[in-house]
Amino acid sequence: MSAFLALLRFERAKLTGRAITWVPFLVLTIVVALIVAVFHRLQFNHMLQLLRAAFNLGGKDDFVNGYYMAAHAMNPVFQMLIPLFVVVAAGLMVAGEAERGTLRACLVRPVSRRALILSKFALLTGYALALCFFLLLLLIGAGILNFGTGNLYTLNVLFHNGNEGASMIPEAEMPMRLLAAGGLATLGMMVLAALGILVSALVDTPAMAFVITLSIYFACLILRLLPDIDWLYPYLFVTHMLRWQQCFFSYFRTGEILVSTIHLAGYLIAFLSAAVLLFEERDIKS
Amino acid sequence: MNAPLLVLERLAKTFKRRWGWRRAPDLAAVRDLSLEINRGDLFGFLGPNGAGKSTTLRMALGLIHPSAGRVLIDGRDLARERLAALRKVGAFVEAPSFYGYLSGRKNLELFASLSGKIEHGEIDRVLERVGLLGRERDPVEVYSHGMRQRLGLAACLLPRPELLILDEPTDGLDPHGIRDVRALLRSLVRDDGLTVFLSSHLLSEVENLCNRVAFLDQGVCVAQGELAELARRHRRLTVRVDLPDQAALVIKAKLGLDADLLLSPEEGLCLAPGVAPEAVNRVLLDAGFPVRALEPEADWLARFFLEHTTSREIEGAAA
Repeated sequence: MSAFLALLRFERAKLTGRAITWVPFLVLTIVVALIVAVFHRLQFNHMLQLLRAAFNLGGKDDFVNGYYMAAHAMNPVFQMLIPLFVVVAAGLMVAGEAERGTLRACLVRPVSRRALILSKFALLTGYALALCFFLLLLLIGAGILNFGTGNLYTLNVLFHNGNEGASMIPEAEMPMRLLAAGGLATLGMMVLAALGILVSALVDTPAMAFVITLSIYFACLILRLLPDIDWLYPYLFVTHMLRWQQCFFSYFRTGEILVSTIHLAGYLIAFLSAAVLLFEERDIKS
Repeated sequence: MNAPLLVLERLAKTFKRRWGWRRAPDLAAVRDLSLEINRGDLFGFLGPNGAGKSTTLRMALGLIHPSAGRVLIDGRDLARERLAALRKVGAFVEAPSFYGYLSGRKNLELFASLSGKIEHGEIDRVLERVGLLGRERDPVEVYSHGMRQRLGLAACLLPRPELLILDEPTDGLDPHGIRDVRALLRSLVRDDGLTVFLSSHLLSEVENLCNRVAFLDQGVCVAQGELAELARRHRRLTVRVDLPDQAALVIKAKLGLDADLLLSPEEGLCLAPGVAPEAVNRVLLDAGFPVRALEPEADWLARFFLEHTTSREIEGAAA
């Protein structure tokens, strides 16, 4: 146990000491600032028109609030930006170290390969958690400071509800819903982190690790958008990764979220076990 | 007799290869290699580029899984007790690698923490020993190649290993650095009782440092033994004497040796290995031949290396 703690401290010192680790936090801050600026400028006329079909709304101020901004900004950032940061970090953690030679410097010491991979995954999970909740808190904080609070009015299609029309979530439920969405999104990022570690453990360059992991992720995202293959959706890990979107449905589908959580846990264990097994057998030639 | 600290037992490694999408013939990088490195040895591992030295070192450290054979460190099988076996080892393969954005001291602290607890002041001790005290707070990315090499040695010494496995430890160092590292290695063996397994293609380095050597060529160990014994068996003796052809007849008659005239760089008698210089000197003086010089062959190791290996990519061999 103390050896594993030493490895965790080792990985943490490396992760926090690297400038690139902090770049995503800066990027997310800039992105949130841009989103706030855009929300100030936009009149949301088209959205207002669509929401008026379901609700009696007077103008932008009736539906644009901090929760609206946070929920709608989560969608692109959690699907595109944070996965990118997590995959880059995963690539640097194993393949990056293999390329630099520091991986062999670790492995000529009395370090278990399994423990090394698990400690890297643990740190990456912590990193993904920090990114997700940093973004979430920044979005909620900046949103509330600029636009106040209120009910969440949204179109069902934006969160892949499967239904037409619009939904309203009462203001009182929003903090819990956002927290649940953040938690589920983090679990999704953990699966992506495990996939990233698996790929990273098999290749010798971080660039190769990024390309392969992101290709798998985006290929799954594209498949999920193709019509007539909905039988395939439950088997795609991205389907379950994006289940956090259900936190913004008018009714909370606890059963589906639970099933997705189990799926994600399964994918996580599978990816991580494969990473450990393959890494233990791998010859370190770099 | 010393118990061996590191044993390579019938070690072999075959790599499966691909050229693009096509399967290429397998590469036997190391074949049936057996070595024993005893406690207190400074063991030189020589071979041309591509001979399989680094692959052997990687197998000795558990980085590469052998296709056959086994590695024992202090009697522990590396495949079964890797962690316990590696606790006795400090090593770097190819070049020492560090986290450039962290200071030298922080790198040492981190790597040492993977091997267990270190005593207070231990890092200062090794930094002083490799001559880096005073620069340890600089980030490694500003270190010169020589400083990184020294830091690599410092990392190997934490926390107090019994066996050092080093790949080209003086590679890229300036003459001062080479002298210092060689002195350090000698001191580690002599004063600290460490055992060193050293891979190099610098013949002069091995000749200067090591007490035992092994030669690897195309994955096969072609010769090994005590360096002094190899020198005794293979080092020629050149005798500078007037009338060398007549002197040769005297030596043949009195000592029963075959002697050939050495034509280059200047005339002299080149005697087969194994001849005692003092016996030759005495015989020639008794016969009235004033001996001007008795010169043991300076580059015998280079000649031996070239005779026993096939690649020509060897630094110092042509000199």
